[in-house]
Amino acid sequence: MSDTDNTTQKYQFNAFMLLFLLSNVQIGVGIFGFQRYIYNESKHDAWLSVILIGIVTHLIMWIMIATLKKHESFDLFDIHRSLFGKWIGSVISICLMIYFIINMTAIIRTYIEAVQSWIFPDFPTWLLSLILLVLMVYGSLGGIRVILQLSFICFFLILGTLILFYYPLQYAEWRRILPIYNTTMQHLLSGAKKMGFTIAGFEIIYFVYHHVKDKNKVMRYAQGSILFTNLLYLIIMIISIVYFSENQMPKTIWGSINLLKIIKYPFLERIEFIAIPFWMFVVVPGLMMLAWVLLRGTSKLFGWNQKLTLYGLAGVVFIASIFFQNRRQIDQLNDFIGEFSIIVSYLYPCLLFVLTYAAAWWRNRKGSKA
Amino acid sequence: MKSIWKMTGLILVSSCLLMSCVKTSVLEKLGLTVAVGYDLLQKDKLNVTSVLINPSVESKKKSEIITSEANSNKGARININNMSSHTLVSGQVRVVLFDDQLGKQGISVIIDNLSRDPFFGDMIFLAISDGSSNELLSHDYSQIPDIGMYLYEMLQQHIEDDWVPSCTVQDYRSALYSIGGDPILPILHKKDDSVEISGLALFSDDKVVGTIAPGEAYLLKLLQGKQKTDLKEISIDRNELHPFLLKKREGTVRVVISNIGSKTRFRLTSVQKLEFHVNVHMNVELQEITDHYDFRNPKAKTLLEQKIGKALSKETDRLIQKLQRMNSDAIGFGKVYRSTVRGSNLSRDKWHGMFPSAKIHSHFKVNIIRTGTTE
Repeated sequence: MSDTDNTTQKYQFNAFMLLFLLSNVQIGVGIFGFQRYIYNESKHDAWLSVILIGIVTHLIMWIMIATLKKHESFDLFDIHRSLFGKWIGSVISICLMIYFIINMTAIIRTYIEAVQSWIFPDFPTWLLSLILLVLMVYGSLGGIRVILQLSFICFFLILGTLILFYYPLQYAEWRRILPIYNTTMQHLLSGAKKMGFTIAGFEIIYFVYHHVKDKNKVMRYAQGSILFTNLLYLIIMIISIVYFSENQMPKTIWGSINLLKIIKYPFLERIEFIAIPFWMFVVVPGLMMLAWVLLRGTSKLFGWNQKLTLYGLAGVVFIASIFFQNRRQIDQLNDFIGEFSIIVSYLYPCLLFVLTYAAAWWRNRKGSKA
Repeated sequence: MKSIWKMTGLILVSSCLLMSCVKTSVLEKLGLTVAVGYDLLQKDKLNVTSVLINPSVESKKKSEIITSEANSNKGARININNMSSHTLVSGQVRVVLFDDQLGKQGISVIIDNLSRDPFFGDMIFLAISDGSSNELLSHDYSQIPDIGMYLYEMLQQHIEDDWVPSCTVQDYRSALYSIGGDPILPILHKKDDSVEISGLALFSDDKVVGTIAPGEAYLLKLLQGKQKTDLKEISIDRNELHPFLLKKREGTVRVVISNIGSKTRFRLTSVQKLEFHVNVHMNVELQEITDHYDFRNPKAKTLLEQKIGKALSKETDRLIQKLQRMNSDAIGFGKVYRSTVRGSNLSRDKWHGMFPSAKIHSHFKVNIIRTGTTE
């Protein structure tokens, strides 16, 4: 593609930055309360579900990178065009972009819901949404490098937060995790499926791949990043299982925040009031990354002005986010996104992989015939 | 230069936006609730007592007490707010009391609603008051200037290094919503001009079904594996120790031990017969023995260890039988059952049907590691 040639040094980055970027896009608001959805399916074996989806994610990541390698320096929009032709390819790309917009809305609205139900019940939705979007626009204007640097900072922020989860362990009852594997494979799988909204986000490798300088190292760092996310989710899941009792977990909407609720310092009695606003740091780079992907898409497909599109995008997400009024609607949105992200992040890459290799084989055969 | 102007503009606009959007809480205008007491009146009416840190600085008394009748917890808060010169906030509540009448009727609804409100912490202590909690909180104690903080510190101290098991909201809800296991809360008793922790209230689901004394509570906390250094008095028949006692007489010997470290293991030995074995391994330090005992003989120590173990397991068996009679599984045998039996599909109701008929044996292995500085 012509675009690749003029992707100058400026827009390229080292492969190890993927380590921070991918996990940061994955980790967002889902982590606040993913536990109970999985627990409802696979009970105290929920942690096995987390491991299961983790392993599948590693596999899918391998498939994604293998697909990208075959296409050399294409991103997903180019791949669509080359596999499905101009029209169908564009339609699929547009569907994907709509998915990303809904995803952004879900992230923003869930975060606002957390702030409203924990700290400021009377905080207007539109205002917080506006603040988040202004930050997102401001950051996105700086390009991918700003996003990368932010996610680098976030990585350590997430690590720091992880230390806080040591406190709930004092109330742990390890017996709750026993007996291991006391459920059926079917329940484990449907539990794993519920991780969709929480774990999705790694599909952005499709879009950043051709900006990476040393492509032979991508696999290593991308897998490392996913491993970090998986371990984080696994640790939080296990801590939640041993901390909450069997019938308490399904009643807990914000599992991870509840875990932090017991931490008490003499100078700071309620750490969650600080942790939630802090988490904005982690949420915003994820939003910025999605916005960046959307901008690449619109400029590639329609040749729109990036800056104006960004403002328009922020406007759309803003209106969409104030559209959701209560907890039920947000839950439904998240459920919908969760189901959809399984398709986008897990099933669709497999299809692309198969098609890519089929196309290559087809071309080869044609070539050898001629 | 242009970007600096842009930035300043952005900051100005956003600060204007942020100026008055969130409700502010000015400390001087708040009434900080420290303790709350709930009493049951007739016909589901609640009598709610709030202890506030006295907002008027000039006043001699450190705390202010407001009482109100209401149909619901938040309803009481509305009423209490009407009676206070300050806005009531619940972010500093540390102790919540329920009177025994309310305890018998069930308290989980109130506690669930406490944890619904994010401003209540999960580390609030819960307790049952022996008699009206209003009386306990509103009495003008000559020694205690601030009853709310006093109760909090008292409970905290006893939980940290005494026989009271942890009684936070998290502990209560975790036990109440677990499969196989019932909550326990300490009982506060007003004694003339002071307050004492007189024992533990046993729950079956969310209803108080009985009480146990501090001595039994010691064993209970020991079985939960949370007992730290604390003294325990045991009486042993003189005849059993007589080879090493200097004077031969009838009666009992009292031995006081302090726990240095203990390990408790629960084993489900038979699923069909529902038989449990409790093995406790205790390292103790001998603090006191009310007679001259010949420690120089190596066999003397072994005998005393055996007798202490026997006395403790006898007491424990009695405690467990008491729990079974009341159908309150405060120790958590149901959790042991659920976690060892595969595919048991245990539920709370099912376990309450099984627990009273379970056969539970306890065995103590005591190891006296020292006898103080003398023999």
